[in-house]
Amino acid sequence: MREWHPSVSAVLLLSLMLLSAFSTEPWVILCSLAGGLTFCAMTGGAKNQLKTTLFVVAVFTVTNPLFSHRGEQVLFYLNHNAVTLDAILLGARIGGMLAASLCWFSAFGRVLDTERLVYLLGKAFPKIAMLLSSALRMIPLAKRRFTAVGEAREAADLGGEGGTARMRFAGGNLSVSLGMTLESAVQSGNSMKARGFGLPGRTAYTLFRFAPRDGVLLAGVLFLTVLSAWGILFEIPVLFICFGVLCALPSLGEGREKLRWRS
Amino acid sequence: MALTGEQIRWLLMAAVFIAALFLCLFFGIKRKPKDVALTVLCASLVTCFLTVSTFHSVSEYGSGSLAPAGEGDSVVTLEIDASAAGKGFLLPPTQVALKEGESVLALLLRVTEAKNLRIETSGGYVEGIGGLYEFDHGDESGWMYAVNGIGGSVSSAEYLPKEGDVIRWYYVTSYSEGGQTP
Repeated sequence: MREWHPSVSAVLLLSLMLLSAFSTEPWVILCSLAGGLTFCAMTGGAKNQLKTTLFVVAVFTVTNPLFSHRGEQVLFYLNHNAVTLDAILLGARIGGMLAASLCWFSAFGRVLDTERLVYLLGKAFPKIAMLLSSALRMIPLAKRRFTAVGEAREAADLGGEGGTARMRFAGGNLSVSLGMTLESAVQSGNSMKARGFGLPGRTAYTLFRFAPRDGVLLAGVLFLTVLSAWGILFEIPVLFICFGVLCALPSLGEGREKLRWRS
Repeated sequence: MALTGEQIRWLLMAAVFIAALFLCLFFGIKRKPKDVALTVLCASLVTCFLTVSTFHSVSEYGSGSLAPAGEGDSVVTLEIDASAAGKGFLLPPTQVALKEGESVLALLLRVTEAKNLRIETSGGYVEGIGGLYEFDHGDESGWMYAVNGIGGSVSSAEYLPKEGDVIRWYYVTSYSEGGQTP
């Protein structure tokens, strides 16, 4: 997936995210979950994703029968309300639907990291791309800075025991971090100006080139997405195969690289 | 299969206990004490809920048989017709005693509970009887009522029937067509 052009991965994962959330057919949900969890296993983070999936499915399986009393097969009556097998199964399917969507959501976050996202947005919305890249950099940087300042001041024996001493210590940390942040912002501005940011005729370095293979992939993904959406909305069982292929694509893309680079 | 309501309650409480035990062991008291405490709290809340709830199995549901109409009671005929959905009569035309000031809906609720029929209402509106719900057979399907052959124009919670009325609850698959000829 990381070899592909970001637009292809973005379209594929977005469509999977949206399509998974629209159908309660068991086969669709199973395909989606299987594809998503396999992909998570290949890229890391499968254990957490599996835990989230189980939790969501369990929650909906237990709560749906409490709210919906429809169904033919009644198991027992709880507080004069019928708890039906149909409601339990529907709860499981709704939970599966949501869990699958969450799975693809996390896959999207993992494949499309800041660099790719900024590249994609930079073409259409350059100012937003710049703001996004600054903001996404600043927050972890500020956290690291705050920790470093805290450690330095602690080593300089400025920390103390007791409530007021600790508050003063924290306040001092904050003030120093803030000063450093503002100073570095001014420095960044100066350095950008020195390197000619905003001057006409400047181009950005693009890491991602759109190869013919990416064109073929994009066309295939769009075609399969349209067919799957048609199948899911109008409930044509045959077109669920398209959705299955769509689910398998990310794992196939990742697996190909793994096979190539196995040690 | 558990047959009595009480057995179902104990079964569910045992299931909750086993699940909580498994989760606590999975989290580990030393490794993640907060998660263990949360699990124990949730399990105890669920157990409290299970203790105070009432459970009935399918065969126990219903307060019993309908008291026959006595002397001096106002008598009406009630029927529940689900033949439009292919289920025949859920309640064949039955003579029931009408209580003072009872609306059509209250009568229906009383009779269905006595006859062990599942009913779900929301305000004055009947959503489903005996497992057959509105929208189960199309977007325009649902339950309607008619008194003496005339379709009810007011909410069933407001219409007060009189002695000798024939009250018919029937399922329609298309309310725009079914409203005219009950």
